[in-house]
Amino acid sequence: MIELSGLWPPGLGLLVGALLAGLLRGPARDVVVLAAPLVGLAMVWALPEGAAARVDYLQYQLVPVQVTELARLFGTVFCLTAFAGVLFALRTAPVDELAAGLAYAAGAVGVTFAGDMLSLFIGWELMAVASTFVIWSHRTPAARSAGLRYLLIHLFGGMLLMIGIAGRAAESGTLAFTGMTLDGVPEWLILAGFLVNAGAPPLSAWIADAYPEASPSGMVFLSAFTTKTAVFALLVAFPGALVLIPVGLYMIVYGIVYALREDDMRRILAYSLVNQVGFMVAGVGIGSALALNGVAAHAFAHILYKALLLMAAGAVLHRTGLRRCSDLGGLARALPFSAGAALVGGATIAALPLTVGFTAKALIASAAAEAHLTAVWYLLAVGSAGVIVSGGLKFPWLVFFDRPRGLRPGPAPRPMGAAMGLLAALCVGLGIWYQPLYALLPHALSYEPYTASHVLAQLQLALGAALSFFLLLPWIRRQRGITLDWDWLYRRAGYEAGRRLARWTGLALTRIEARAGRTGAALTQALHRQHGPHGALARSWPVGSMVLWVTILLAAYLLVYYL
Amino acid sequence: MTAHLPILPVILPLIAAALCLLLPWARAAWLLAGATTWAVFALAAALIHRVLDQGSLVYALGGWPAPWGIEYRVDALNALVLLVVTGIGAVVMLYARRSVEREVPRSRIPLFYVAYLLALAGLLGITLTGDAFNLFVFLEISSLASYILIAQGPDRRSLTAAFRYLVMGTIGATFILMGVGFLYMVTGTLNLYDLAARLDGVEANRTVRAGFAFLTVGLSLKLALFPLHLWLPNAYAFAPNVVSAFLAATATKVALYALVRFLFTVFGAQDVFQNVPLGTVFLALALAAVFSGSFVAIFQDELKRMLAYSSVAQIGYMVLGLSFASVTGLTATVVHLFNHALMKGALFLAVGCLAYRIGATRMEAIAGLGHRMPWTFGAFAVAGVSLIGLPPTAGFISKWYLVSGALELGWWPVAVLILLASLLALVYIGRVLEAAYFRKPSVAEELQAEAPVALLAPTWLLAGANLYFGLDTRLSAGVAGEAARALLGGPG
Amino acid sequence: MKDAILVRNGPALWVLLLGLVISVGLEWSFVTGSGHSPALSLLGFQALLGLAAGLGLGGIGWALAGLLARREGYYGD
Repeated sequence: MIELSGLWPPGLGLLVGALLAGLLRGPARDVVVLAAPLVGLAMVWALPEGAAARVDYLQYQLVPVQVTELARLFGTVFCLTAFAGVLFALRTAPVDELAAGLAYAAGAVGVTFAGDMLSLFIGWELMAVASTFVIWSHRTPAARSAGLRYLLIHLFGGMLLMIGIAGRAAESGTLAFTGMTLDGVPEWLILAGFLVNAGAPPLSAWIADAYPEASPSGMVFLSAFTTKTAVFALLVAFPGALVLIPVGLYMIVYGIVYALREDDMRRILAYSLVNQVGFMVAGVGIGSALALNGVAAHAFAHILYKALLLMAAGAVLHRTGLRRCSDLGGLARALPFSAGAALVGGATIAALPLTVGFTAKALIASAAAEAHLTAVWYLLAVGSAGVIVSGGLKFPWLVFFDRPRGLRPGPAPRPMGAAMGLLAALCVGLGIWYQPLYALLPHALSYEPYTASHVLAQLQLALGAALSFFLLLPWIRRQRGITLDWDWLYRRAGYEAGRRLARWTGLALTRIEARAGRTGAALTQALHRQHGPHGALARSWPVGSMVLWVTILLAAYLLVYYL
Repeated sequence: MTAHLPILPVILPLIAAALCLLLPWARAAWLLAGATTWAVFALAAALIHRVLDQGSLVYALGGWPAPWGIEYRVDALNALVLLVVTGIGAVVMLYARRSVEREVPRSRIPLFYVAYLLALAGLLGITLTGDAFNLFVFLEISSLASYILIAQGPDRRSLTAAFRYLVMGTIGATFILMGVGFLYMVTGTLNLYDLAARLDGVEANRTVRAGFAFLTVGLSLKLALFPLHLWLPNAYAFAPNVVSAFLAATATKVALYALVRFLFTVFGAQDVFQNVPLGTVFLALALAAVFSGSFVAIFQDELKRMLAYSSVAQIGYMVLGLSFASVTGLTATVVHLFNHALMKGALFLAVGCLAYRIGATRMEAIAGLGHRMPWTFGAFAVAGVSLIGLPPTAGFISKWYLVSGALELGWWPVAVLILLASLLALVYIGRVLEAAYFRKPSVAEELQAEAPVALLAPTWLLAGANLYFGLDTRLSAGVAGEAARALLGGPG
Repeated sequence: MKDAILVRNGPALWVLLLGLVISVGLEWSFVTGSGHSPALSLLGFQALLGLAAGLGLGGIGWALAGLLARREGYYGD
């Protein structure tokens, strides 16, 4: 029984766009890929609130489309970013990146509107595969191996999720995508599956490993969807799960410290992404209405400003072909638009007043203060300061200002400029006119961001942090190479161990077979010494090994049956 | 006419085989064989429809009543297996004309189709029969025909592969015969259902146990359960592409069906799993099959061998479901029997398309061809995703039931292992797709063209079926569930 | 080093310091004007927190670098 009640999954528009993108060429393709996210946005808003579609599948009733306020919020920002991302990529990206990017967005929107875990899982896996193709569409050897590691990690996370879902269905007979309590193994596995996508430790290295290997425009797509759908899933399923607070705090500090150590500008932004998601994860852990609102608002803002920052980096990469801060510098004159975008993005991540960062981010810290979690509040404040140093200032300063290297790249292509302009406008616009954003938040909110104390506090924090940046600048400038992370375990240690194990088992098996074969052959030879020619035995050896196994197995079965 | 429905799927191919022998022209032989396979498929569809509507069908051969006469009994389980085997047989037939013409000398093609029809008849006979000795007869018919089919491969090693399969297969068949013989000695009957009734109560008898052991080993060999799978990789790798596709999707499935029939209908689940620790043995062997098969597949450079080892792993999954001895587990086994036929069939047909164009199936040869042969590799990708078990493909359904079955019993480590093996499948499928899409072509320019529609259409039919049955599971999972419930709640 | 910082980043640094002075001044006027301010126990607390946080995290980074820094291409794939 299928009861759609006229509800089309909003991701469908994006998916159709992805398929058509592969088949069309030239202006027709451009129109289709730009229209698809807008169609998706229209579909998101056309759905009546509280509606749900139901489908019977296997022995369960699935809810492939469920419209909640939170779903609307995330669906809106996903479609907006998909549009901006496609616009940014319009002239420079290969068609498989555009198609994969749209399919990726479709998966994200599908997860957002899922009402049951199986529909969520379908969207989840679609995202994993499509995002891998976004990485692989950048045809370099590094992208290939990074993409493979990325896919394996995501399918591993999907595996944890699936066992959790199946276990939960087996235990409680329900597949509903609602709040869960962490009282059984299935729920912990589902949490683990969500956290893998969020970039939580110990599997947080994949973000900085895989994202920067995508093309300049590819990373814009990548930054927007996977981690944020994980945040969305945590918001729905595990609000108030206290274990998320330490996880989030680790991610905050990890992101800052590794970003400070990093030389590659897009890896800096990747670590910064983990840091920001850490704020969101911690916020979900705090669990109050204010905190959850804060997480939703922060996620919305983060998607926009991270995409903006990555667009600036992407433009630089596209025009200069260089990725390392140590090779870049002083590009503000040559790429003024990108520099402006980077500054707006940096200001937003720093949560300076008049940006959406300010109107969105303060909510989580206020929630911590309200809940009297003093230590958490301090750590969040430290994190805010840290992100200004590592994310808000480091990238714009080292790439666009600081030591000029005599690089003379051309200006960014028009579509890139337009996309950056769009996102910058949104960042500032939603900072000044924040009511539309607040209206989208799931819980009722009576928060006033522009109070004197808030503004002053944030300005002071920002200024203090900026001062520390300039004091640390000589050390920051000297950073080269990479920093080891948990992924060392599977990239070095695990790989070596696996290889040795494979060799050892192979040797062991041949040794067993050889020894058994020798005894068997000796016996048969002894028996037949008087009879048949020895040649016949030697000739039948290849067949003999199979016969040997048959005999062994028959003996084993008989033994088992008689026991 | 409808009264004879259960016997027709066996008789038609037998008669057609005889007629084919008289036709010296390749095209005519193909037409006859094709018409027969499609007719048999239609019969199978009618049968399953009838069985789902009205319950089991019983048919006495020649009017002689059981247990003296040979009885054919069709229930949900063998109706589904029948549908799968005839379906694959029919779809592969569409593909066969051009593929066989490429690989087999023209003069031998009619004989090829004779062997094909005989193999099909044999397999269908095993599926439909309710008599143990009749089962053995048809097993031998299908096996002998398979040996001939495998030996037709263009590579000279196909002869050796066929020979090894012959030796192993004969040993297996002999064991089965001995098993049947022991059971006959104790009960005096050969009818499966009568055996079930008579064995009730005498399960601990030594002769019965010995018969059981021989039967299990013999069928495990035909089934290619680890470690008795050693005949399979060479047989599938060197046989003609049509034969690989057909056998990979049907022969082992029918052997599995026979095993299930003996274990659950004749011996009874209680005896098999509680009095004898067969569940543990199967669990261990199945897991070994899954992992060793997958690991070896990862390191294969030749596509057909890789798919063969992958089949060993997938058979492991099917036996894993058996070892759970629960309704969910048995449903998983039967559903995967259905789904795997679709997956492996599509994969082998796609590789056959490749071989048709470039004449080789090694990893180095397929480099970069993903863009020149988009439909071929597209089908491979779809079936590959189904093999890995991602939704919304049919493979996901199988994995879901397997994992659910394991979790129902509280066997968390097994559930984890099942999904870890999916990651391994990702690696070997991923290797092929990576080579196809991300490398520069190494084969000559003239060879880089898409395969003909005659080959692509059946391939996509099966690949598309993977997607269809991932969404509409009433036929696969629904019927499997019914069959499982009947088997576990049934006699014995 | 101090000269180098000032010479290279001179203008930015002066703007920063100016901003800090202004903001602390504003804060002082609020405290004396409204009676209390939340989360501020001493003047310029937030600024100090920001400075300390930045330097502290930089310190952690420096320590970590000693342990975990490797050259690029370490994993060799």
